[in-house]
Amino acid sequence: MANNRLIVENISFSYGGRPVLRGVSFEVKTGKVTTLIGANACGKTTLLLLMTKNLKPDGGRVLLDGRDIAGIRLRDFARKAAVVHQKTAAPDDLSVEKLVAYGRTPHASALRGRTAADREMIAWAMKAAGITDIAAQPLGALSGGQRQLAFIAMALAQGAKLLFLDEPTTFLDIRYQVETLRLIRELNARLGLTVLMVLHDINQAIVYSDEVIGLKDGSVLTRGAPGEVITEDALFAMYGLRLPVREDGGRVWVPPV
Amino acid sequence: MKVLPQKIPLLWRRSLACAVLGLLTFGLFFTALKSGSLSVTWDELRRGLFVAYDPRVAAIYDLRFPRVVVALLAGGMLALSGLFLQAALRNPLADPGIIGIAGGAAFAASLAGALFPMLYFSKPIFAFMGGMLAFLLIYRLAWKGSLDPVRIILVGVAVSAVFTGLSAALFGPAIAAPGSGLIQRSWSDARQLALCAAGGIPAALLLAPVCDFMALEDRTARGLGINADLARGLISVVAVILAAAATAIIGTVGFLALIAPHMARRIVGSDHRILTPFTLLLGAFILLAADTLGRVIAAPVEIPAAVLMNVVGGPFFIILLRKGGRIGKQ
Repeated sequence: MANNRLIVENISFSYGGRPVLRGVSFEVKTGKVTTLIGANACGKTTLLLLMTKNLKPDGGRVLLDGRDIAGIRLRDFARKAAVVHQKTAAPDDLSVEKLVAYGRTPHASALRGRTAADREMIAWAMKAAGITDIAAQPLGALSGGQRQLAFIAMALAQGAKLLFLDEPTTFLDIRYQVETLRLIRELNARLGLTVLMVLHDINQAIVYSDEVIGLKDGSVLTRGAPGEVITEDALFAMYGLRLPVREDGGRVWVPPV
Repeated sequence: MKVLPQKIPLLWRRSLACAVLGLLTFGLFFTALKSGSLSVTWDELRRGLFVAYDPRVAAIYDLRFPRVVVALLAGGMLALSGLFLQAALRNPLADPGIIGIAGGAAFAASLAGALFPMLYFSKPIFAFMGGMLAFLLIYRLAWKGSLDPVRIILVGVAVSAVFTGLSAALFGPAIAAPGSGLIQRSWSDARQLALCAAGGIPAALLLAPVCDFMALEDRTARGLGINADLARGLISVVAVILAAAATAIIGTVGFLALIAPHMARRIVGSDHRILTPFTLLLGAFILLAADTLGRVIAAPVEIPAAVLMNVVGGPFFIILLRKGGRIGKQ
């Protein structure tokens, strides 16, 4: 029985002779929300690309239920893991529903058309992301936040148990940042999705994650529950900046400078 | 990209557009057969083709008919090639003529004509190799971690210039044309082109749904289980086959491959399942219209379709470039 156990084993990767990741190992906790944090160019996005078959590691491997993902076909992997990338592109005249329907691609067969199960998943994914009312709208007419939700719905339609998100809040205003992160949390709670995401905002990482992994210079600096991991020393090591860490109502937070 | 207002339901608009274009092409086909220096009436044409022998209609059948067929096929194939290159390179300005694929194909086809004049079908095969060489050169030279849309055009223009120069140096100053455009195309030409079309067009229609994924980021496509690199390679090869075959028979025709897909997108939207057949038909229509117009407006002098396409296509390209601020940022 597949339980979607994801293990990163001693991954190293260099780009153009420059080492980006040096022997990174960790296990993604199944059914939890894990967030990667770290300074720009510390290897967060690269790690996410290596874990989603977009890049091949120079050394080490990524194991999904004990199998090296290098040996899993792209299509089979897409049924187990869905990814929402930071940069998205799509024709402006593509409707939200058509985009979400792309999520069924890994389940599609050339011989039969869209099945009832496909239609059900598409409708469900749009409902889960709260975009049913804009299903017929072309992407060009959406706000950045709605667009992001549409791409998340596409990923949900894949029916995968693993969800990767690369900086899902970067281009959004505060309302959609919160809405997106709440949705992710809710999906995790309701469906038991295992979530691995990259975030820039430390406070968002604290509030919305079960586990935080701090990267520095291509290595894991620290990992654990946000309250234990986010310390003044850890932040200084990652960002080179002395930031105060406050505690408030049993939860740590970092006041912006 | 803006599409026509959404007032008319998409399905209706698409069906209507296909029906209208189909009828127009059908009408144009017979108009093209009928008009020119050797003129016949509709009735004479009908009788000569289907009822009894008529020497004038027979001459039209031998001389004008293959030309019309070649124009339709080559126009459709060039337009499809442009559509596929634009999808594969994610670049709305890609056109086999502008980026040198047609130049490479034309040069190689001329070379085949000079080296193996008797070898049937050597021209399309050489043209494909020349086109592929040009494409790989452009791809390699424009690649800097990712494909920069503007770099593709700049490198393509340079590659195009090199092949046009080589053609001129080896085969005389005539603008790289293995044949002389559409003038004097024979049934042999039509058959060669039809053979290529029989392979290239069904392949294009089969690949059409995959083209939609090229409009997403490669990472997103991969996340959906699509091998983006393989898909891009296949789409590109089909585009080169189509452009090379057309170029081998009628020489270089610029801008058609740029204009037809853009017009088609405006009319039927960007879904390649509909866009691909529509672009095919639109390209066929435009090239035949240009050729027919060129034959009649200044008769007895003929204005080559390629010249007309340049006159119309040049300004069109400039308009696209001016709108291109967005393109560079994608």
